[in-house]
Amino acid sequence: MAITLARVDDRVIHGQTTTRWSKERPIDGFLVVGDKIIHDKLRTKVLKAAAGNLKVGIFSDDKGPEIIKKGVQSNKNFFLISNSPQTFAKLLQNGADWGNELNVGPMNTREGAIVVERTLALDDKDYEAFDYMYNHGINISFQLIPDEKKKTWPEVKKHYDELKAKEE
Amino acid sequence: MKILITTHGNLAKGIYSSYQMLAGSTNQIKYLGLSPDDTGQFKKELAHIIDQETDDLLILCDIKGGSPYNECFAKYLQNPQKIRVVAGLNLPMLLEVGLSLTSKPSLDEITDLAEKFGKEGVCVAKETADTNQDIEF
Repeated sequence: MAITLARVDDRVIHGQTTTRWSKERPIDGFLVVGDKIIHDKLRTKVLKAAAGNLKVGIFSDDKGPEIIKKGVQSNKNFFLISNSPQTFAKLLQNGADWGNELNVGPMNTREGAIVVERTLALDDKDYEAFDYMYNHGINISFQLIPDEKKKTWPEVKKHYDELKAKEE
Repeated sequence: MKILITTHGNLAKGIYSSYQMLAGSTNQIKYLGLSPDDTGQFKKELAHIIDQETDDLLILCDIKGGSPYNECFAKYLQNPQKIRVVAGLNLPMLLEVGLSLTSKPSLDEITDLAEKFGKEGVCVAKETADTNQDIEF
């Protein structure tokens, strides 16, 4: 397997990824998947600069499964990153196989999202996406950096349910 | 191996909190700031930290010739086998030396890392011409 980290991260490529995860796991380049990211030219430039010496490929959701396959079969090592769990769920649905691990980094607050943990805001669609992946055998770990204690989807889900119940 | 950050004011504490955000916590990094109201506490605390330390110690200072640096430089002159001092502290420097601790570098190796990455960390933002899909599998 040459996808050494699959990660949901709102900020896509930044300090925690380039300085910390890249020390923990082998990496030759970033595979970034997301329709919203690819169409944002400014963001694309910033992400490429953030990666420093590492190469970055940014791909549409539809192109995702093919790119992941290439990445897995390659001798090189890649971090697979998207800014949304919904993208990963869609990829899984479309037959992509990056392994059975999914790491989750920061997810910012948005309209309709609930702040579940310190750096994690989820909405109902994110919830459905995580649930879908969890039920299809993906181990989901919420962990900003490798030293931090992992939280699992059932833990985060329980917290979301409690907060949602309070809200209603 | 231990790392000690010494600075004027709260920079030492602040840069350590930035380090933690990116790299996590470690008990191998200590920090000591010189208060604007200092009447000798900095010197005492520095001596206390160094006396208690049995490991080698890399000291990162904010600026060459400042009081924290001068105090640390004196300590280095008294004990050059166990202490190194690097001035010009920045976050790339701290990150690199902090994360290198797990591979147990020698005092000379970690000092070289601090200098190298501290210098390389300073750069001017430039737009890269290539925005195409340049990834290779």
